[in-house]
Amino acid sequence: MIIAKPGLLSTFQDDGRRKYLAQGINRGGAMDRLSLEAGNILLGNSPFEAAMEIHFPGPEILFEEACAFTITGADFGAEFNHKALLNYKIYHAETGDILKFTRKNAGERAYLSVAGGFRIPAWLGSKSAGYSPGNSRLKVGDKVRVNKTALSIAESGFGISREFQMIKKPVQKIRFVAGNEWDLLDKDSTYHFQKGIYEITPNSDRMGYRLSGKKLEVVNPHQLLSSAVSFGTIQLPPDGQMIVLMADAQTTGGYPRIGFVAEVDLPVLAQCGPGQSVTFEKIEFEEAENLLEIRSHEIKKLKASVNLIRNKAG
Amino acid sequence: MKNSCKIWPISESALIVSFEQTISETVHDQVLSLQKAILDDPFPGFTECVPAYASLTVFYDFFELKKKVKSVLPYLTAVLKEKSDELADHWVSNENRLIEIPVKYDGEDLEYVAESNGLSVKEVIKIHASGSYRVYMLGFLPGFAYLGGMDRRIATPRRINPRLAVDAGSVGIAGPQTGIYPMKSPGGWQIIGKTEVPLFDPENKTPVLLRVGDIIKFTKI
Repeated sequence: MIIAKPGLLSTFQDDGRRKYLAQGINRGGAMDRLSLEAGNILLGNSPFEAAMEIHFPGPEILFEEACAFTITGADFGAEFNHKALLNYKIYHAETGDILKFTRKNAGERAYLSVAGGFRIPAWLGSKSAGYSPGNSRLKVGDKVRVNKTALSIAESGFGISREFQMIKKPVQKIRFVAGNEWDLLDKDSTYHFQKGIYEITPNSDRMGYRLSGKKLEVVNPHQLLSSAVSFGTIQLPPDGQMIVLMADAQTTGGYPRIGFVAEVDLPVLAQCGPGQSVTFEKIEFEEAENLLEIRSHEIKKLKASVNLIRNKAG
Repeated sequence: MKNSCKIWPISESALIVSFEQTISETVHDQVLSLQKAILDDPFPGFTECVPAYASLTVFYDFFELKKKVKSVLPYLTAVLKEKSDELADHWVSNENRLIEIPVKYDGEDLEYVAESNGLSVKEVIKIHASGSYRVYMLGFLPGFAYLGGMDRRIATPRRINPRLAVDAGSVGIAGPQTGIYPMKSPGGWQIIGKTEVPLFDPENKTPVLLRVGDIIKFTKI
């Protein structure tokens, strides 16, 4: 395919780079890994094969070879040869077909996955952009090949359970687990954090979201020694306004870590943009783990139903 | 030595083991010893760990580990406590590689650093090039080393107006710390010189030159 227009920010992302954090090389990867995984499952790819992560305004893509593709995550009013597309449905593209994104209906990040995956180089074990040489944000005229796949995939739509759907809400609830420095928050702050409404500010990107709302304070603030942070870490800088670290977060940080977003809610947060209101609900670590297991069960169910349909068709 | 580490999750797939919260070679040796013990005998699902000044963060694959153990947190806490208790009486002192970094001391802020400390430029260079610096942590950018051991006489606050672009290889001072920019990036450190040694080379098989625990010496060229 040829990138006729690159859009605001289009990059390839898988589930990120492992084993290099100690060298300061961050994990990176897709912001909404659930949508990434769903797209790959629908196409019969490995679960975290790299997809094109698309922000709005989206790219304009001209296909140069036949391939099966699907779009998951945000609904950007995708049009295929000027006809509206549905997310989570599989389509077949032929040479000369055009894919565009016309409206920002819901969500912040869409994922374009192709059967067989994109033919892009891996760097340090991952196809995610970032510090990777020769794989950065897409530019006008970039050409990307698609891997050949033996699988023949019928054009089809799957009944996607609520678990995978992006549901737009005026206030999005985000569950979190108390962190190392939770106990340093003063009493009012623990109250506000759990009862207050916080807004995602325009100063938010793939590295982190800056929130604005009732100021939070730590009792007896002292310089902390920096240590590792991760996707989901909730930091409290001295101005009292939280920063939630996202997929491209750096590897270490020195602000108080008052908590972390439950992993199952990271995809929800990844689909929230500037202006979106969020509230925080505190859960125990074990509950966060249980939620992850329930999520994994849902993913298995999706895989099973995809296989069932495919076997029937085959 | 008494061992009083605290263990806390930072996500569903990472725990931080924190030691006495102070910057010292002794504490840092404990961090590195625990790292070595885990790398030598990793637990199921272990993926990687990140050593810092006074903590080691241990990352794992939740579902891999879950195949083997029922409750992740109690299991890992026990494993990590046991490892650090075993080490408590005989922290292994680590093999510290010595790395020489030739520096051309001609940075834009060299005179400012000298002036604000009541020293001559020559003295600043002499002091900076005579120290030996331990890599306590790599973070912020690929290969960006947090170095300890700088002489307080040349400590200088960060620039009030950070630069939009600092060249790769720039050697700087920020408060009591010194460091090298591994790649071009915005930055607020006072720049005193430059090295040609590549600290981060994405095309290289080992893209980052320095390792936590290395000892660095700057030599004037």
